[in-house]
Amino acid sequence: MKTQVSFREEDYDRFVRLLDEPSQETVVIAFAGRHQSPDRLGVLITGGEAVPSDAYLDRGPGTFRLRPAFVAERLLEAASLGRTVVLIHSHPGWDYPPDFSPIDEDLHARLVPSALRQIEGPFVSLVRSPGGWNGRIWKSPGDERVIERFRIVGRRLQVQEVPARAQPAEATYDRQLRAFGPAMQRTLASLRVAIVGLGGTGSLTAQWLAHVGVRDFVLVDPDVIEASNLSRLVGGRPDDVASGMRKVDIAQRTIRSVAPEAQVASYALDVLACDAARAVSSADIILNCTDSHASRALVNRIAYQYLVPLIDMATLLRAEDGAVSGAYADVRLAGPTRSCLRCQGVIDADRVREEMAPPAERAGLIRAGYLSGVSVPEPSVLPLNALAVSLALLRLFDTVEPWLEWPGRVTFEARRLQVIEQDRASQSNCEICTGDQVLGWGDDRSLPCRDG
Amino acid sequence: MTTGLLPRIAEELQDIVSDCAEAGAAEIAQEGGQTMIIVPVQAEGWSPPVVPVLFRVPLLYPDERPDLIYLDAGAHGPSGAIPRAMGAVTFLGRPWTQVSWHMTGSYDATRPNLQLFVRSTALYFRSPNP
Repeated sequence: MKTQVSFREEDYDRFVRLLDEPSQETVVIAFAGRHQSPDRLGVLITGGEAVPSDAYLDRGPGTFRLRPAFVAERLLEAASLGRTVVLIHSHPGWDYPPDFSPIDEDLHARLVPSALRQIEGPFVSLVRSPGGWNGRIWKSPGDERVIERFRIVGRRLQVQEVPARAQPAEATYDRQLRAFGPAMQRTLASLRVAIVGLGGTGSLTAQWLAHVGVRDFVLVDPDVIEASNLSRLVGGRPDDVASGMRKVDIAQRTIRSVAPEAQVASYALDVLACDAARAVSSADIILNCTDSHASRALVNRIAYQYLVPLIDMATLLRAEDGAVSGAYADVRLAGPTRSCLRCQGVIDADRVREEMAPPAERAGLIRAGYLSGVSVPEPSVLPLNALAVSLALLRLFDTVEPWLEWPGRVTFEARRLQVIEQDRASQSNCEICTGDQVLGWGDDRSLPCRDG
Repeated sequence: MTTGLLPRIAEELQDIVSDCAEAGAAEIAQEGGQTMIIVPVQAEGWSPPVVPVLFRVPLLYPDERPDLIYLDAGAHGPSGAIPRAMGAVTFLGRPWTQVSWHMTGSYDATRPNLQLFVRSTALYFRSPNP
């Protein structure tokens, strides 16, 4: 079980400014959402304030004591909001990651049992110095663990691991290192990437991510390969069609052929199944490779609720009687600090409704003439899919180490060689990407998924 | 602690309850992860004159457009039938008639669409219909 703390970039930057004050210890109290998946335990911090000076009983370069009434009020407030509490303090002047002091340990011994009586765990304590972070998480007073990962999510996605990950093999990534440097390569190796949909774009995404150095995957797709997939599903073989192999298993085989040591968690489920949705929520970044609007709506929600950048990709090939009139590869970026896919206009409520209708209801609506009932496979070709995946992976690189000057949505029209740029702002009343109804709530809000 | 509906949706349901207060008490219910609201609707010429109408809150609402209504199985219109009936279904242990009744027009997920759907349905039933 990996332990982690996720910050929004704006909070993180503000906390660092407050905590790196050199003359005395500073305390910040943050409220956070909880996040537990089969192999991750953590909190998602959105907001938090420096403790006001009159709430300190004592404060100096090596110590702090807070008024018990102030701490009790904050715990009560967090409990009433259904959130947990993160206590963050500084050790000024250390140019290496700090340890908790004996005074801190004494505070933990007194505070943690009392806090966990008032709030549902976990409780988190972090210490910051200019040299880095250290942290502990308690699910119960006797269950104390060291924080192993710090994620900062915003314009840039940063992952700091404790202890720091060794540099991946230099020879393998020599050309990439020359372009982006070792920090990006280390981050790629530490990322968990969820790929939703392992068809035309998803299979390529899995293969290319393994090549560029990603080593931890969550794969989600309910389908098995069919003969018509062989022209586009990278890694697919005729004998897979004969044996009815699942697309997630083909992607896993492809990844392992490039990176035998990669961790791959496969879910042969629709992402709307709660088990799959929860697995996706444990990712550091999501690549959405389905053309389902219902899946897109759910993944969009996960991105904000769990502070996960989301790269959504699609292709559209307009063709009639063998004549192609338009070929589009479309990539849009969403997630904390960005407008969501709804605000970008790529979730169609009617398509969601149609996709979500149970079979019997759907049949009734077709009989009533409300739905067409005609589902024609869309034209699709590998080179156009590859174009979308290229744009998406460039976007992923940029998320880790900013270098692109792209707007939120980029559409490449291959026939006329045109690039369409769009950057739609969030709608002011969107509950997904504005306000505090979704952002960073983690497990404290249920996901709109299907159990069982 | 896990809370079910987003506050925005919970507030919208409470607004629907308030809208309907004149006709009777609306009921918000859950069954198998599906949230529903049963609204008493004054129905001109119908039997009974106040018809319980069930609206489902779509799982992916508001990104999923609300659709279909369910009338209490005992209700019938002035003609003795239920127009556009699609079949019988059971929710909350009660029989309902599924009706092909749809929200029309452009859709903006940031608006209170379910409330607008309930209001337009109530308005339809308030005037004489077959």
